[in-house]
Amino acid sequence: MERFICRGGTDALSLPPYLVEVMSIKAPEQLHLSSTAMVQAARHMERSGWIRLPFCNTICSESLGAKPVLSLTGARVKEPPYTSPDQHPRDITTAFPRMSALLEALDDLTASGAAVAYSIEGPFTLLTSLLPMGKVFSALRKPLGQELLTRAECWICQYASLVCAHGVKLLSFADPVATPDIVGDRLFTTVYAPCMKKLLRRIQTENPEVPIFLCGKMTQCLLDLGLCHTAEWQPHTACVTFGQALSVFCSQRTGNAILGHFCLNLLDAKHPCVERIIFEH
Amino acid sequence: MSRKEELLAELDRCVLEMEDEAVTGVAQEYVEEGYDAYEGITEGLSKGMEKAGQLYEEEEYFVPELLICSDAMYNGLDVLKPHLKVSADQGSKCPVIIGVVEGDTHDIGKNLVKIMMDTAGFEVFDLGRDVAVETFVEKAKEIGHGIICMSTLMTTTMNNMSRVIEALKEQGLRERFAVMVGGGPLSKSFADKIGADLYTANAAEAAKEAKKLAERLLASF
Repeated sequence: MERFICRGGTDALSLPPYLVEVMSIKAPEQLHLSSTAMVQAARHMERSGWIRLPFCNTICSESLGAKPVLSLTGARVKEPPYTSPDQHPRDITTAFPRMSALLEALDDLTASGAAVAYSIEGPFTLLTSLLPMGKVFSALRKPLGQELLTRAECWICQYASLVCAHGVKLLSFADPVATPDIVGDRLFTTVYAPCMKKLLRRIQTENPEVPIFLCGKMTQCLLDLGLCHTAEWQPHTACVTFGQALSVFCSQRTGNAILGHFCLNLLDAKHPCVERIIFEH
Repeated sequence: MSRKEELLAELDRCVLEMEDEAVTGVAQEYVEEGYDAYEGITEGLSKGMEKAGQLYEEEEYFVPELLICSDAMYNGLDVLKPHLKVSADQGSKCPVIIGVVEGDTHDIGKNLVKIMMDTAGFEVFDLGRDVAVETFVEKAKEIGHGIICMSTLMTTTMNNMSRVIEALKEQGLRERFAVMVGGGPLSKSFADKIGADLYTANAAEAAKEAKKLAERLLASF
């Protein structure tokens, strides 16, 4: 099986500059706080039958108290809002303008039959957007660490269920802070992978109709450490691109699934198959 | 081994073994015994951090370990710093302004470089992440001379590094500052193209090369 090498990073989810001109957007708020503009931009960025929202990263952090800086190419959390884990809120909140605009955009898109792939981030990336990274890793070495991970699991599940209730067809899961080249094999294997597996299972249980697509880089890390294997699925109808194969899989699928070992930034790639991810026991 | 040596060894161990809470008690005991705070930093905390940096280079430690070691070092510093005697040569150090350029919030690399620079004895002004061009220039004006260290992980924000360099030129500050760049998508050729003085591929190399750069810069005044 071919190794997956990540080349895209997060750039592919940024709004291309030509779109900003086409849509006559002058200020970031015009994009981030308007469901109409979000829908328009998302439709421009449709690839192989899938729509991805270029604005959704950091919304989960914002729902937990982060104050993202809005720009025409996306939103980013400049500094973590908390200095200690005991300052974290218990639940996510949905009562803020960007969330309202996003959910309205999701409703509009899915009501018109669009297939939306929605990006959510894993516990390490979420936690490090809320607390200084050193504090997060320090807590993980102490009894508090498990509590922190459980808390993150609850937040991410709440968020995933929320967007699924608004018609999302596929959840895209990534956790760029959690790869073994950053955290090391030991922490990844003993702490992160079990936590992620539990989280994904819970998301599946709560949203059985929505497959989860695991970022290719993450899948490759799991494969390298013998924590999962893959099973190739080929569509019976003629497909040219990865996005088309993914659409066929989602339409024919029975029971929920975790997919991966490729990249949603490559929906147009001539790669007409899908890899299922099977975790080792 | 004298009591002082024991405590220095314990400060070293606390940092190396990520005892980010216990280190404050050891540092407190060290100053209460009346030992020199500067030595506590150089012969205790910094030694532990240097060893941690070495383990990071050898891939025994990873980012989490290095960050916790640095938290331990800073916790110890918080106790020792108020007891430092003012040194005549403090002003001779080359200050370093460090930040992730505007548009990017990926700061793991920047934080590692900051830790290594701190450990190497630089006075570091950390501007954080997503730092506007104007903020770099304002800090440069305030500091007057030194090294400006910029990082980014995204191709879309790399050009903000050249904007900082251009702004330094416009403000007549370029000759007073050496500029270092680093980050995932960067290369030496990119650094050369934008007129930076140094590109390094990792944090440990950044601190080593920064020392040479600082010597050259200070000699040029």
